[in-house]
Amino acid sequence: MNNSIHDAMNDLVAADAARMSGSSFADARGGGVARRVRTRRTVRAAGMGGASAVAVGAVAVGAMNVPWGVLGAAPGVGGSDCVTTSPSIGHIRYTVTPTEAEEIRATTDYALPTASGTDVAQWWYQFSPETGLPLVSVDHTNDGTWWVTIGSGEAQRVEPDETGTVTIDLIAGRKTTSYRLESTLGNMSVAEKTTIAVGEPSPSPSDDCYTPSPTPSSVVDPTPSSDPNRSPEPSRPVIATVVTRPEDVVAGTNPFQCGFAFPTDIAGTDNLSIMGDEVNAPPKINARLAADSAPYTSDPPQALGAAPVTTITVTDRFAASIGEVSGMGTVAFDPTTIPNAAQPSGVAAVQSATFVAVVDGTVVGTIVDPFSPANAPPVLQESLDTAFDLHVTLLNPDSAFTACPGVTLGNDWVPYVVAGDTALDAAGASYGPVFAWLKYGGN
Amino acid sequence: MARWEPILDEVMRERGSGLLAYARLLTGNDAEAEDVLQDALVRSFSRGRTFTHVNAAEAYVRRAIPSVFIDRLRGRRTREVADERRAREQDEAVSMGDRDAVLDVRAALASLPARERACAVLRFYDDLTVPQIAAQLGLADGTVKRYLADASARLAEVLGETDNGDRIPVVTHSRKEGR
Repeated sequence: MNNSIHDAMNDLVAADAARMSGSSFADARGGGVARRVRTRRTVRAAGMGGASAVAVGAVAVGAMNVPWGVLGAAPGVGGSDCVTTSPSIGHIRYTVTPTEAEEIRATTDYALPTASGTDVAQWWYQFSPETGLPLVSVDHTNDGTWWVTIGSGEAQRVEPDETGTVTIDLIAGRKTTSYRLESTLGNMSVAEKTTIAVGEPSPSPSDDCYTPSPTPSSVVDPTPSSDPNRSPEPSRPVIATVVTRPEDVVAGTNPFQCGFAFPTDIAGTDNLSIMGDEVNAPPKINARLAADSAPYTSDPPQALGAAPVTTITVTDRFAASIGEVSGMGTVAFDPTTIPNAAQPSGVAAVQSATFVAVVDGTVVGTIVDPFSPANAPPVLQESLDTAFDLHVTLLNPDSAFTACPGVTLGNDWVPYVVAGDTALDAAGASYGPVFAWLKYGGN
Repeated sequence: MARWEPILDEVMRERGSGLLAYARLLTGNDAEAEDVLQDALVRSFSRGRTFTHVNAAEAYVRRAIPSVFIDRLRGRRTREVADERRAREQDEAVSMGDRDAVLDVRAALASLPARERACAVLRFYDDLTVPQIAAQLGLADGTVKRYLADASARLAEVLGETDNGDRIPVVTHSRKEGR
């Protein structure tokens, strides 16, 4: 019977293929497709892709104070959040504030700025949903000067450090990402990107957080200070903890498994990261449940109260050599599944995200099947418009987890969201696995 | 013109009909098939890879289509579900020219919920195993098995092939189960 269905489906595809026209499709949709591809590829080439794509859909720039003065809220830039800046030459620090990802989903397709040209190298970060303009852009012009523009404000000149580079810190909640930019005329790139996780949530922005102090304000650098390319950072207040590299996790265990010990509350890599968590009100959760076609027949407990939603962003710097990664799935992560997922070309990838219950930094409970029972699944998963962005929501934490062997789940556990990513390229070389995780404040 | 653009155009013009037909197998209607193909093309060509031949590009796009379809389901709004219902009604006009066997399969697929349809297509058309389907669609193995079991029963019912009353097996023995 399988063969008969297969044959019948083949016939169906053949019949439809004979009826449908690729040329008509190309004429009608080709322009839009090419425009979207062009935008995304250009953004990646300019440093927004790869790890930088983490920013897309996750953060937006608020009002800015910069070393040379106070710019205030730029038109078209939402929020009125505080920014702390560093007066260090060549090192600029901005605070960006997580906003609801849904409201910035469309930012990946905004038109590119036109200032870039053969005599100007440009890097930009995030786009305003309102204006389509970059929220932060850095230009290196043919006369050797560097300019930073916040929103649609006026460009401000900044001096590079002694290595000839400019570093920008972007701070979103518990995460600070530093981009060290280097440039040759016509081509600016991210020479170094470092991400620092903060142990505790950042305090809410306040109206008086701008301190025009000459003391540099910065964060702990996760890399050894012996790096000659780093700009000097004197008098740094310790406001962050260093992220343990997830690749250093003991072989044979991973954060999806019982007994795994988290060395930090948050971790990520350039290729896999978890961006902040946001608390959503019941109407929004209910709307999401309604939007999902799964046959929910009972309201999850979280629908009666606020539910945490975590935006997970996956990026793939190995795409050029590995090939397509089909996107994140809320499934149990098992790198051994890769060979079975391999396509005829040999290319395969497994990306997963789910929740685990943790006590004292150790996994004590897991979700066996995030979509079962179908009428009250423990996890709501939504893919965002950007290719590898995913919302995952823990709907009913009280009953979602199955205790690990030998463990009785009490009331003292906290949920962590965990993500894993691994792949094989066409030559059979493996990449990963890499992991990311984030601890919620409590259950 | 960038190097990828001629390949993109070639994929759309020369392979577009086949890709649209494949997408339609999943979506059940022409309009959504075009939307899915459009997103799959964007996804496949946006990742910075260099396609040197239209065959490779087509393979990537084809593989992206089910993922895009499932992703769209996850973000679907109630209004869109209603649109799909309308599209299904319009679909009946398309089916007027089908041969009987094709008509049967079209009707059987249309009777399946979207996720079950996706699993059935990947299983019976693409010959993927349960773990492969789970990995490609981002679903749990158990979920895929459940969808396939339900889809098999429904297909058997609609197609009138009961296989001695048994459900269509969802896992073949010729492929490895790795999980």
